Amino acid sequence: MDDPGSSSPQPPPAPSGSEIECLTLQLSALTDVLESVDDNPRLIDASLDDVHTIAALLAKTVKRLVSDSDFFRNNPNRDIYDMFEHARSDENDTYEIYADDLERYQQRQHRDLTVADSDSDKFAVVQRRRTYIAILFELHSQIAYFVDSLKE
Amino acid sequence: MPPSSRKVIPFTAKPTADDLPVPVALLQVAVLQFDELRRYAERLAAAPQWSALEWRAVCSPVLIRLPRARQSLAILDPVRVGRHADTRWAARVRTARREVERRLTDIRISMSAVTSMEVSSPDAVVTVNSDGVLLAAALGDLRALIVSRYPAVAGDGTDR
Repeated sequence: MDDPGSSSPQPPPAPSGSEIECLTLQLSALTDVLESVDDNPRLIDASLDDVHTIAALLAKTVKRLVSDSDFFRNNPNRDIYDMFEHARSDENDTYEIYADDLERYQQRQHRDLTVADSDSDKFAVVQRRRTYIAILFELHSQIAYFVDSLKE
Repeated sequence: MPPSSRKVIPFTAKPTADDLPVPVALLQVAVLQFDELRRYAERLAAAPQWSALEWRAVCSPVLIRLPRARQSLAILDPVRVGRHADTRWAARVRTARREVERRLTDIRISMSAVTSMEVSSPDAVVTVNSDGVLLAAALGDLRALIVSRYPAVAGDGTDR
């Protein structure tokens, strides 16, 4: 029978190849989304929640890999993680604002708005969409870089 | 420093299974419903009726098909980004589906307006004609997207 108190502390293991492969697979879903919306940004409106779910799942996987490994033993990795964390936080915040504006725009479409109000709603959505897509690209870059650092 | 450009390098690892997330039979039913509603919406668009009675006659076939059209749209719920192997197609279907939902709401409102007047106003007639055209186009786009990827659901192969 093992005695937990007698074992010497071991350094956390490096992420396994299958874990990295899993993250790579999840990242490919975000790659597909970005390729699609790069051609037609409006496509993201109807799939916003699903895209946010993909981003959240990726972030969760990255965090799990970091907490289960000795990722921070290598000092430059701290910068890589901080950049990822920043992009993840931006994605989360921007999603909320974009989703709210999009919902408001869709609800108000059926009301008798003035042209100015309608244009204002639409312009807000276009701006939020543009910002959100840029942040998704940033998050994708950071996670791809994170994957590369795990493979080194 | 980590790169932050907008260049995306696709990974080769993708889900290989291209299983239809909806049973073909259900999707066939949905496409048939869309076709049927589209035909009646097109008639609505070309109907220069003026009395409420005449409008009710031409609007009723559309009106009674709206709930079934919404049920057919719900069949497409599993087609989502992140769940389907073809992300681009799934995103386009979601967008086309949302457009149909919007047009269904518009046509319901404009039909309600035109059938509630003893004699329709020119504005109401133009609106219902226009909404009929837009609904028919949205249904046609959604149908074309589905059939482009799953030709078997077209059934008799007609694309009216």
